[in-house]
Parts: sequence; C-alpha cells; structure tokens
Amino acid sequence: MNISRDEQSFFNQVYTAVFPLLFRVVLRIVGDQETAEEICHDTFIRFYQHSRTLPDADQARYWVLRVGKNLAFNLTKRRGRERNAFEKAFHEPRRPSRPADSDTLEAETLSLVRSAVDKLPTTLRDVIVLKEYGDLSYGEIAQVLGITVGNVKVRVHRARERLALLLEEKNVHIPQ
Amino acid sequence: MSIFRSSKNQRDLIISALLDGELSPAEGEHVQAAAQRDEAVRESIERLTRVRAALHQAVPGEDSRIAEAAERVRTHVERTIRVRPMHSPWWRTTIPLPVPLLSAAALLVIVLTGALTVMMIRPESPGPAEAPGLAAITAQDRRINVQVNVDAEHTDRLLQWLNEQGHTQQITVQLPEQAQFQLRGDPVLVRREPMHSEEFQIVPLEDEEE
Repeated sequence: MNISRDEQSFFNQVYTAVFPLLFRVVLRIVGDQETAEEICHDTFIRFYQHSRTLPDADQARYWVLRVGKNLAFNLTKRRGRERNAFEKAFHEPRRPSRPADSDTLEAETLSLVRSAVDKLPTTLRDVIVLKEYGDLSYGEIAQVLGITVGNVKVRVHRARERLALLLEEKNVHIPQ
Repeated sequence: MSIFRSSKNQRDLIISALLDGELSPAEGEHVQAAAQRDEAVRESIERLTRVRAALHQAVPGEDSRIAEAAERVRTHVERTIRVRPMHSPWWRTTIPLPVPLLSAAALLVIVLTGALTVMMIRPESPGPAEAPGLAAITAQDRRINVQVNVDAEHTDRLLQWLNEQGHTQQITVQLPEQAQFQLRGDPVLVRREPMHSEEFQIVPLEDEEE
C-alpha cells in the first residue's frame, strides 16, 4: 500500500480489531455473505480515505461501525424499494424471503428475525443491532450514534419490547 | 429496594439493562432476589431473554466465515488502494470551519447576491435634464402628482391626452393672474347625468324641468 508506515500500522490495527464485529453486524443486516463482504470492503476504503481525520483507534472503531451499519441499512432499503417496484411493474406476488441454501427451521427463524428488525423505526433498530449483533456496551453505542447512555438504555428496551410483540405475532421458533 | 415499586415499563427497563450487564453488582443481586419472590419479574426476564436468544441465534459457520472473509476483503481493499490515491486531492479536501464563521460567510454571500441582483434588475431613473415629456407618463403612474407647464396653445392637446388615458381623477388648472375669458353663446346650467355613468352626458337643466 502506498501509505506511510504509521498509517499502515493504524489501518491494520483498526482493521484487525473491527472487521469481525463489523462483518457480523453487516451479515445480520443484509443476510448474505457476498453482500456483507462488499459492504465491509466499501467501509474500509472509506475509512482508509478518512483515517487522517480520526484521532485514535477508538474513534476509528466507532466511525467504521457507524458507516458500515449505515451502508448495510441503505442497501436493504434500496433492495426493498426495487422489489416493490418490480412487483408493482409485473404484478408478481411477493415471494417469501427464504435463503436459497437452506429450508431449515433455523434459517426461517433467522429470516423472520431479520424481517422483524427491519420493521423497527431507525432509532430503535440502530441501537438493537449494535447491542445484539455488535455486542457493544451502552457507552460504546452512545459513542457510535452520538446519543446519551440513558437514551441507549431506553431505546434498547423499547426495541426489545417491539421485537417481542413482532416475534410473538409470527410465532417465531426460538431454539433453546 | 424501590426500583420494582415503579411501573411495569420501568421494571422491564431495569431487567433489560440487567440482561446487558449494565447494572451494578448490587442492583443485579436485587433484581435476582426480586425474581425469586415475584412471578411477574421472572416472566419479564424470560420474555426478554427469549428476544435476545432469537437475535443471537447463530448463523451456521459464522466464525469460520468471518476469518475467510477478513482475508478476502483485506486483499480486495489493498488492491483497490493501489489504484486510488491515498487521500483526496487538496481541492476535494474537507476543511473544518467554525459554524459562526460559516454562517457569517453565508450571510455575506446572500446579501451581496441580493444587492447585485437588485442593481441589475432596477431600471435607471432618468435625471432631470433627461426627463421625457408626457409620453412617459403611463397608467401605472396614477398616484403621482405631476406638475406640467403647458402654454395656452397646447392646453387642449394636454386635456385631450389626459382624457384618452381615462385614469386621471383630478386636474387643477392654474390660470395666469391676468387671464381673461370671453363668453360665447348663451350660458346654460348643466349637470352630469347619471351621476355614476361611464358615459359623460351633459343634460341642460331646462330639459329636466319639462
């Protein structure tokens, strides 16, 4: 890479620390590995271009998670719009969104859970994704989203309440 | 402790924080003790735990996927970086500026733009020496008091022109002090009839008396 040793070292440090977390969060949002890898790639390219503006590894970590999460949600939103437009244009009934590689109960549960998370308002969805998929603390989520810890606490709880209702409505199987 | 004497919502908020490990050890012990005593607390814990379990459900082979993906993505990122400049060129660099300075600059640009636009749009007002004659007085000028000096020979032309405009409401004629009048024919009393008619008719009073 055509960058100085310090920058290279900083990039490597952040990449190694954040990639597993970012990939897990993005994979849960978009649902397929190839797309998740593309989003991680784009996120780290952006990080690479903005790394000089980020003072330390912690800020870089929050920045990368925020950008990756936004890219993933933007993509799912765009896909949803495209699917709706296609259905409208060709009058095709909506097909159940089930992963092609598996018909198992677990795969169906994953799909239903993802669908329930997508139905949450943005403010609730962002915190629950970072909490449950990213396993971040309330303080870290507050840093990523630029809100207070108290807000995070309330939003996490509200998101869980909404999800409980949505999952109960669909009678989702939850393996023990 | 009093935390569970509050509403169900408040209680569930505390339980949610407990599941996330965000309570102090003392608070956590208190919630656990309350759960042993209170069926409702136990149910709330179980309900929220189920939601967490649904979200935490493992994606098959996730850990091995992450390791493979990390290597693959790193290779692609390095390849992309080789063909792109490390940082944006200076003309695409973002320069952080304080908000008050930006606001002042934006205000200045708006004011200057407005002033320039007004100067370009506003027609130049003619000076006294270049003032055009009657032809320049239009119907839009009806509220303007204009003093026109006309010699006796052109008075009829002026009155005729004003009549053609149809917008003149009041005309004051200032006669010279030495003005002399000569009556022609027999004088008659007239009045305007009807009062608000568009057409101006002169009706001799004698006709009405008849």
